[in-house]
Amino acid sequence: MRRLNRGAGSDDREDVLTLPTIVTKEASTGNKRIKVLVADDDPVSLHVLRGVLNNTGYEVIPAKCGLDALAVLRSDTPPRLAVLDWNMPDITGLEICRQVRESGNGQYTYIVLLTGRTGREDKAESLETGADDCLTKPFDVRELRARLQTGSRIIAEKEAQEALARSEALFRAITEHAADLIAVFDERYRFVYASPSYSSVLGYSAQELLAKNGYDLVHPDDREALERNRRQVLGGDKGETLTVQVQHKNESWRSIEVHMGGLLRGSLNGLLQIARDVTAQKQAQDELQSALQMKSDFISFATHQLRTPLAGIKWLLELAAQGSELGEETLSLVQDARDSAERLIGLVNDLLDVSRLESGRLKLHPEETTLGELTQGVLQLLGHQIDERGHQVSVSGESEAPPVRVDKQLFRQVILNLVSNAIKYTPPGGHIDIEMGPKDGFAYWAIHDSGVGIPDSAKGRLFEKFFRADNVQRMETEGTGLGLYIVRLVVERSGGYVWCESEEGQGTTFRWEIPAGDCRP
Amino acid sequence: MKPPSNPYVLLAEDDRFLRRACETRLRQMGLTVATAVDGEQALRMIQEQAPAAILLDLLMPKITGIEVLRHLRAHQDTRDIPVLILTNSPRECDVEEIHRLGVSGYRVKAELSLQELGRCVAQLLAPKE
Repeated sequence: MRRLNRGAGSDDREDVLTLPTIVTKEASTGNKRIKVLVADDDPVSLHVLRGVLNNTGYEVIPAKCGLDALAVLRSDTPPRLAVLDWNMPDITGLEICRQVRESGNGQYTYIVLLTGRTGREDKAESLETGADDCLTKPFDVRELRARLQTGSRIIAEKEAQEALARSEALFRAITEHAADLIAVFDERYRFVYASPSYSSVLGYSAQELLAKNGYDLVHPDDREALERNRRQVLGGDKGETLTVQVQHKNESWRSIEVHMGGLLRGSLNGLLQIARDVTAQKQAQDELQSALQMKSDFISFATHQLRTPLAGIKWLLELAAQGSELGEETLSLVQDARDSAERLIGLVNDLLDVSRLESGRLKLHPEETTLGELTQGVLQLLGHQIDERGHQVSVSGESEAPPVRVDKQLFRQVILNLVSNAIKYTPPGGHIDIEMGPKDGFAYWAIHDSGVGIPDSAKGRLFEKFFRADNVQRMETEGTGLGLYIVRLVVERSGGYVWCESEEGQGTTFRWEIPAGDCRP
Repeated sequence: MKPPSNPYVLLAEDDRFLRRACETRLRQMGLTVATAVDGEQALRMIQEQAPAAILLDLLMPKITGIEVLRHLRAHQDTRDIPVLILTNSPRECDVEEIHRLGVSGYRVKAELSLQELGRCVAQLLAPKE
């Protein structure tokens, strides 16, 4: 801060005339100057006051008459300070005071009246009317500065109080209207504050709760866990969110999710707790759980109950087909029956795989293996079909592909589904190229065929359950639309992803990637 | 049913159609076969005369396949009998325990042909090297 050099005995009014640049700390808050309204009908006085206050660091709003001053004080953003001359021809400073205070507007303005008279009544009258201070002309500029400084402080305090009251009202409104149960507890877990929501959720008024210990409402089985959590929070750790049973005033039990938010310190000591009634969610969750259990029970029922008679049909037809006394026609009927049984078994298997994968209850049995080994197994199984269609099949990258840890049975299924699709949807004598290898910590597997391809319209829905593209739907009706869905479920379940590129009539590429085995923890 | 006195294969299977198909196939292979319709009967026959190999269903009345297997493995004179598990619900039961107890094979019936089954049994009976 710079201070003006001035000789002994010099007067502040002289400073004004030389217009020194003094910016005092009191008059500016940061970069913002405090506004002060100065009203005087005498242009010289106004000029002097303006100069003095301007140089003290105030932002002066000058008013040449009383009505101008009144307009400023009644504006939306009245200045914090006002210096009003008592005697103005249109409206007196005293009258301005009265009007401003009566209207309630400008209550945050600290008003100093300047009077030429000296009678004590004047001072008393002005203070009664609502002026905050009164100075008799001629006055010492230092005194005016000091009084404005005091006024500024008083107004600032008043504003701070008002802001605090507003903030208090805001937070009170939030806690009082919150559906959550908000409470503050003392060091023995007794209620110090309970939000009104307690009465709608648990039937107790805030008043009734104040006498109670928080544990009185909690089911005995849940108290220990809650107390452990409380000690944790008291020890300065982060609290967990617990769901406990809490008794309603009508003795029914509610599921309440409790979060101990932390410690309040300082003027208010206590433990802040925010809780929520989750009874409805809990019930829905229990119902969902039991529905999932039923689904799982049904799956294991269906697995056994459907597959056992199917296996019986399959085996008995296999024996029947051996019969040497069968005629050619009968043998062909038996063979068709066998094929049909196989198809039904495949369908049941697919449905079971889908149900298990969807329910997330399928227990995976990961084993170390290679994509090459899985691929060769599948090709061996499908060798007959490949030969029948006269396809050229190539496999590359087997030795480069990193080992993987996967459920072998499921991945054999993935490869089987993709290879048999390629066989089915590629015209006889086509090319099928299988490729595998490493890719940034993943192992990839891809199959290219020179088949019918996938129409653009079908690409978005290709991996959906029961979806079949139009062009393959026209070719044969056997497919279930489960094969690619299973591929996606298995690959994604193993932390990988699958996608496809194709142009109708040109062929198709399916590609999937899964984390390489040695990347697993 | 009394177990035969010479070396035989025990087939424990509660479904009569599967039992018939399987038994027929094994006899075609020239094997001596005895059948049990539940775990209890299977255990009784095993105790009377230890079979050369056992084809064991898992979901059976009275005593389940896994209980039979536990019993076999817990006793000195039946510990080494080769067992082939034949099931239709491979994912629902405790695969890990079965492997810990020790079996020679574990197959899903609906996904197995009798021809393959025959090969499995032949391997089971092949003298150990």
